[in-house]
Amino acid sequence: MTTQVTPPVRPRGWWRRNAVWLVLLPVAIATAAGASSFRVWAFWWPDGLHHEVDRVAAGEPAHLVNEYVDLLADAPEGVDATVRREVDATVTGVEQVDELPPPVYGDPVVIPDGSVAYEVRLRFAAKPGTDVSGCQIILVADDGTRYGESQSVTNLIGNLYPCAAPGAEDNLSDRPEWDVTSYVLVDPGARITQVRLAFGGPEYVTTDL
Amino acid sequence: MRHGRRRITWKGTALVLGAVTAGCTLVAYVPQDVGVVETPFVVEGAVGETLDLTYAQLTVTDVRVADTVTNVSEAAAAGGTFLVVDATWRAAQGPTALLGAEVTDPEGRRFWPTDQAGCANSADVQPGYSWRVTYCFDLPRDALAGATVRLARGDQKEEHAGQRRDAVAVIDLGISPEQADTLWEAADSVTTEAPGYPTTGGSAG
Amino acid sequence: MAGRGRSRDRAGGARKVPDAPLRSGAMKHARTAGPDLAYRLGSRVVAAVADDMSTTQRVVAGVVAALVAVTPFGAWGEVEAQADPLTPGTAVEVGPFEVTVVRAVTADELSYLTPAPGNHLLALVVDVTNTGDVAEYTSTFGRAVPAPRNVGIIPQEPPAGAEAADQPDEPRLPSPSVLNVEDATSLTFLNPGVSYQLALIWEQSDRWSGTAVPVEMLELEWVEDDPQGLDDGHWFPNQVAFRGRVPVKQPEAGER
Repeated sequence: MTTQVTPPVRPRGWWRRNAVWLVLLPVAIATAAGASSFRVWAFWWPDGLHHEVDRVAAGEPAHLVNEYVDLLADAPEGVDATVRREVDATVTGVEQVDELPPPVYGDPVVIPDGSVAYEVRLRFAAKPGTDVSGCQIILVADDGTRYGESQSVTNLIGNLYPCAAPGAEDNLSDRPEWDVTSYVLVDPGARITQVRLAFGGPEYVTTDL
Repeated sequence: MRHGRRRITWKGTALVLGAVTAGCTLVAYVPQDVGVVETPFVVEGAVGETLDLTYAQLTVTDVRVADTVTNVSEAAAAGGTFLVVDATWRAAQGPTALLGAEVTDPEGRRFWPTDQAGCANSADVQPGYSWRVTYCFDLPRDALAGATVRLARGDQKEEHAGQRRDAVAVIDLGISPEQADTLWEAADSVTTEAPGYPTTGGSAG
Repeated sequence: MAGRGRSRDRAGGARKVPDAPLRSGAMKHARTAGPDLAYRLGSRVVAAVADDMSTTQRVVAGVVAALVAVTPFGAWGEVEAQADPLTPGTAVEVGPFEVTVVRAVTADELSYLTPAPGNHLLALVVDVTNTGDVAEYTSTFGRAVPAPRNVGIIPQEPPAGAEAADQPDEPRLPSPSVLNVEDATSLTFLNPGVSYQLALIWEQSDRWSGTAVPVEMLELEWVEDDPQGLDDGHWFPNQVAFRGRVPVKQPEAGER
């Protein structure tokens, strides 16, 4: 049997030996979290309005840029092409009204009990041929409640394309500028502070009142 | 540092087996199901009471029992009897899809709503107005007495998985055993209306 | 563990290892390490048994050892191929459902279901009750009743865009359309404790002119954890559990 003699060495502390890796640890955690965040940008981001692209005061034009995949080949780029929609929207008036105008078809819509109606007037400017279907004209109260955002509920006055120009035939704009009027049901007593405009999101523009 | 062949030692084996046993015991005996961390916030109430579920306010306005439910396109006959629940929702935050609708009987059996004859099994609401919805549940005779209805934003599939950490309303429909017998015997018919604004009187909230 | 590096003399498998005491923490190298405990024990067993055997004997011993090894894993269990008889009027259990076959009828039209010209509808009428404690999808039950085979049931359309060469040799028969007999509506859920008379409907060719159809019902297995499809907690239609022949009644005038 042989014996070994190792010269005594004071070991460096664990902290000193691992200092570099400890510094890199938060970086690694952040990278791992980012790399695992697929569900955030695949599911949460496209569903709802999360990206404010412009914010203006009433009377000023807000520039909304929104990309979408054109499933119906409305735009000249063709089916399934990614189309860039650019609209300049100026809020010209927001006020409470006591009556809704008669709809295109059917009986006049009565404002339901427990609700009040607001009329929102905007001026749109966009290149002719812009798809204006699926627009959302939203009133936001000071407590954050958002009125009028839903796309699954039919428009109050039975208008298929609320953001189309008066007399327009379909969802593609046919003139460079036009006026849009929309109606939103709001809780009585709500203080409206913002108007938002979007075409399905996640991009939207805000006009402060 | 160790070079060379790894050694299977008694100590190492004991360590691994001990760790595996401890892990299995933990998994088997520590409660893992929707227990502590993920329970829904249950808001209880009665018919006619307005309940605040944070994302919406709910009032169950009417409870009827009928053998048939009809609307313009269809007439549905119950296998047992239909429990028809009229509810009014008012969203509080933004557009909300309300997917949970379930009746539970005192035994714990869970009954889901039908979509025959215009009955709704979900609702899409947004702030600004009240929205009336009619749910119809086909129940056996012994489920009527003591039945409760559970309405919520999240859906109830997979043991209420969609309602984790969310508010749900559980409303006692107040049907006593004597009332249950009377209701079962009566052969009424209910005509449903499509979901819409409440037609009479005030709104919820 | 300090290696007691004894050199051993064994017939046919000696391994001389140098003596080397090991201190904890010192490095081990392949040349100086003692062999694993498991290796040592294993070698000893194998040497005692196998060293004196010929190659053939070793192969046979290996096969026998393998067969013995799979026994605790159920290799010799009976392969279930039996199906219980299915007779009209007798209740059977299919997953959470209690099912009684009533009869089979043919019809030209049922509610909104209209067959193509040259076909008619075959309806299997059953009484079904959900005996569980939670509502189940009607389609879960429908998937437990495969279309009767070899009686001219029209196969389902291949999915749009599928190439003819991709189709399996035997075309797939569709799941039934399920209607509530009492009111001709379609039910999404079957609630617990409620009994329904349902019609399971397939489109059948007019060229078939038999008097009875073979009916099979599959066993519904509850899958609690589904690592493959991530569909935890569902009923999975498995093997045939019940098989029988049901006479087909031709409709009389005025019947639905």
